Amino acid sequence: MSKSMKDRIAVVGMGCTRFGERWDRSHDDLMVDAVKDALGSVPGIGLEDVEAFWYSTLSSGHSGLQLSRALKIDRPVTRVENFCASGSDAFRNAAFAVASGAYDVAMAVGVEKLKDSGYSGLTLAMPPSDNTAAEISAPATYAMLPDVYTDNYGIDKDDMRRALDHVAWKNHANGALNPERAQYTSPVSKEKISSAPRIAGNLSVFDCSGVADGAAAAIIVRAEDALRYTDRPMYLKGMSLHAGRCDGVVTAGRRHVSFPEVVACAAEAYGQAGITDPRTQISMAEVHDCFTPTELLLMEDLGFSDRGEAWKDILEGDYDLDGRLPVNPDGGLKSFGHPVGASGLRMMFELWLQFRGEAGKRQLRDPKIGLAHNMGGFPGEFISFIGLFGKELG
Amino acid sequence: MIGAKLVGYGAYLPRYRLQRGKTKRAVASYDEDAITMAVGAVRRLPDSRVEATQLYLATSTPPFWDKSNAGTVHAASGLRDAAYCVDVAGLRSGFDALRLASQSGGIAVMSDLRTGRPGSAEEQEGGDGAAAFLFASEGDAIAEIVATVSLPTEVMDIWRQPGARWSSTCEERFASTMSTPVVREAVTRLGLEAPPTWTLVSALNGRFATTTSASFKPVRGTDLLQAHRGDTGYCGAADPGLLLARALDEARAGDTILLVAIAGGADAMLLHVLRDGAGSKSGLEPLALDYVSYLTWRGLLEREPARRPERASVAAPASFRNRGWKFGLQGSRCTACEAIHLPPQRVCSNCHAVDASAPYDASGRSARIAAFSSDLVSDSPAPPAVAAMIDFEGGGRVMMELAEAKPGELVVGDPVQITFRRTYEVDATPNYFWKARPSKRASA
Repeated sequence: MSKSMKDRIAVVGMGCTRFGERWDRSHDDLMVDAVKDALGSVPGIGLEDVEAFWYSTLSSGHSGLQLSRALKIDRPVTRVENFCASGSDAFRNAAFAVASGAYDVAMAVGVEKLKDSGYSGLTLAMPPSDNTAAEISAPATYAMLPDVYTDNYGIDKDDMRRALDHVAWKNHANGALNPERAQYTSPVSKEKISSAPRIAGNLSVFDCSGVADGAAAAIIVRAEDALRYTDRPMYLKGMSLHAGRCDGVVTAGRRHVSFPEVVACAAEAYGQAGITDPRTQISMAEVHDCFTPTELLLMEDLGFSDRGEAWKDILEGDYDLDGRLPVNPDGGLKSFGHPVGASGLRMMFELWLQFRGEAGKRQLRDPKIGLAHNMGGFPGEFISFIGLFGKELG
Repeated sequence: MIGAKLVGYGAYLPRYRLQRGKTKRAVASYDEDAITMAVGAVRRLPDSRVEATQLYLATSTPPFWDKSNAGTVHAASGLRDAAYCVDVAGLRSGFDALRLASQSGGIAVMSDLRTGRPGSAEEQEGGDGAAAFLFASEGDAIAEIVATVSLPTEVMDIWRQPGARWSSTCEERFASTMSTPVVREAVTRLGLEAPPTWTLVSALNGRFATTTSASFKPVRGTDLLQAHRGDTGYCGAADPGLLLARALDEARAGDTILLVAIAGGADAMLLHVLRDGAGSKSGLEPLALDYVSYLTWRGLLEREPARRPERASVAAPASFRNRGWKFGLQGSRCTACEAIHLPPQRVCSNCHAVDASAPYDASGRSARIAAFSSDLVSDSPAPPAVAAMIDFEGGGRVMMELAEAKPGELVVGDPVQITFRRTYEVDATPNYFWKARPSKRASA
């Protein structure tokens, strides 16, 4: 288990590009845009003040040179890849670097350029193998979740579908309040969602995150230095990363009604941050809604809902923008879009805006503690990241 | 504008020559096609070409059907953005382009790559090359077109279906017998008052072309035509253009040129030369090509490939986004400190200014080899590939493939010409970019 870094790390600047079909922007352009945006958010800090960089992408580039070339910097740059949790892991390693004292100012930059490939959904070049693995798309692996859940808890399939419709509806509605940056900025009615053609199992495109181009960046310092840069920094309260044993996909009898990696990850991060009752202590959460059933199960794994109850809480509006615990107020992967290497940092960007009162029409009333949950993999084998952030020290 | 005059021309011949029997034919390198050779010809036109608002591309071997080949030539030739780009297809199209441009002004470029069945007359007598002509109503004219006559004839003399590798032809005695009266009639209708100084006859069959040419008793005989057939070959749609360019090199003010193109009838044109030619330009010396390489380059012989991963197919969005670089070799110049970046950069490597840059055209710049190496690991139809670091005069450096290079003959500092090439083809999609070719002349 990692040791707590509560209140030792602060984010003092962040930037995020518009996500979506950015035909006009290369991978390098998006990084330059995000870095410019992050530097512009903090007066008095320039690129030359940043001593080290962590750059994350799933498959849009190779090595730290991709960033150093675009920014024309002569600085240490580490490329990070950890599936869809790459952006969070770039942040995590930059945080370690400033915590160690090796650097005073570090930057995490996440980017993905997915649209150029012309493919539907994500693709990944795999190393040579015996080619015995079944070819299954990401939507199909997640489309297996709803029936297992309803069967496990004896829930009506239509109720489950209505809950999933609600997740998609909510995240699209939130994204519509994020016109500067979200990929999809129009609300979508539940009727349209429920009647959409299915692409895998009982999932339609409205159940899937947006395939997008985009980049995000964070400037990270030790907490004691934070007020030198901004009067409204964002403090790290807890942070954990779990790479699971991957036994969920090879163990007969295992029911995917929970993601054990997320449960372990949450316990660790909550312990560091002193969270004992996430439902009351956490003001808002950005979670990895790669597909609508993922968000539903996460509500239970993160301790926001009781086991077998998330579908009901969702339908009751608990996680709506005006609910008891707003989830994905920025629209989430669903409507903000999912440029893989940038997504973890995009989640933190929304917490940053909300804490600073800069979230526009999405602004929540004085959030104190926010959670960012980012993960990569498939049901049964996940990398899970959780970061807890606060507006104030203590 | 009606009746523009010829103000510039340029011929582009690939460097390779295949000797078959007594004659040689020009062979496009494995990385050349009708588009790249057309770019080579257009870029040999005078600088005033950039004002042209019409571009007619004639070829019987267009790399694309749905996509405009003329559009790609336009993009790679440094022309203004507003231009009427027209694709004209078939063996007759070279003459058509010339006639169209002479009426509207602008550029006629004809480019072709002729391949036949191994051992066929088409293979032996064919040739590859391109020629471009610039017409304008103003400027120091080289020649003017006095008259043109076109007599189409519905006849199966030579034909090819889209996608077919070769042409089909009728028996050559039939073709010449049928064509002779049509050619006579066309030339009669031109209304020549005296034998022309030059007669240039473009036809698939070289002997027929020469005898037809001689029958009009040109003052300067048929040497030029025979030389063309002996060292270049019949270049399809580009053939009339290459003949005309060659004659204009040698012509004197006051000469008349009778140009006849025979295919599916006859097209005839009478030109009046207004300016002395500059003599034949001695370009880079030709390179002898062996028959096996020729067959390999044309895809007629499949060679064991290098054990390398499949190349990536062309990403349309990235190609579009970077079209200035990819097709125009356009980099950026920092407006704060004047540093040159190839390809364009948003952050200046010298002064770190962000988004302070202007386009910078490197395509016409001279350049030198800063470092090079043979590369037997990368796959190439002409092994060894040669990779080089190219430094551009005025700034900027690009890692490039060298074309037509023998590593043993190179030294650091050698001059290179930058040339537009077809780099590879994946998924039925040709990819284009610039290469550098050594331009140092072989020592005597």
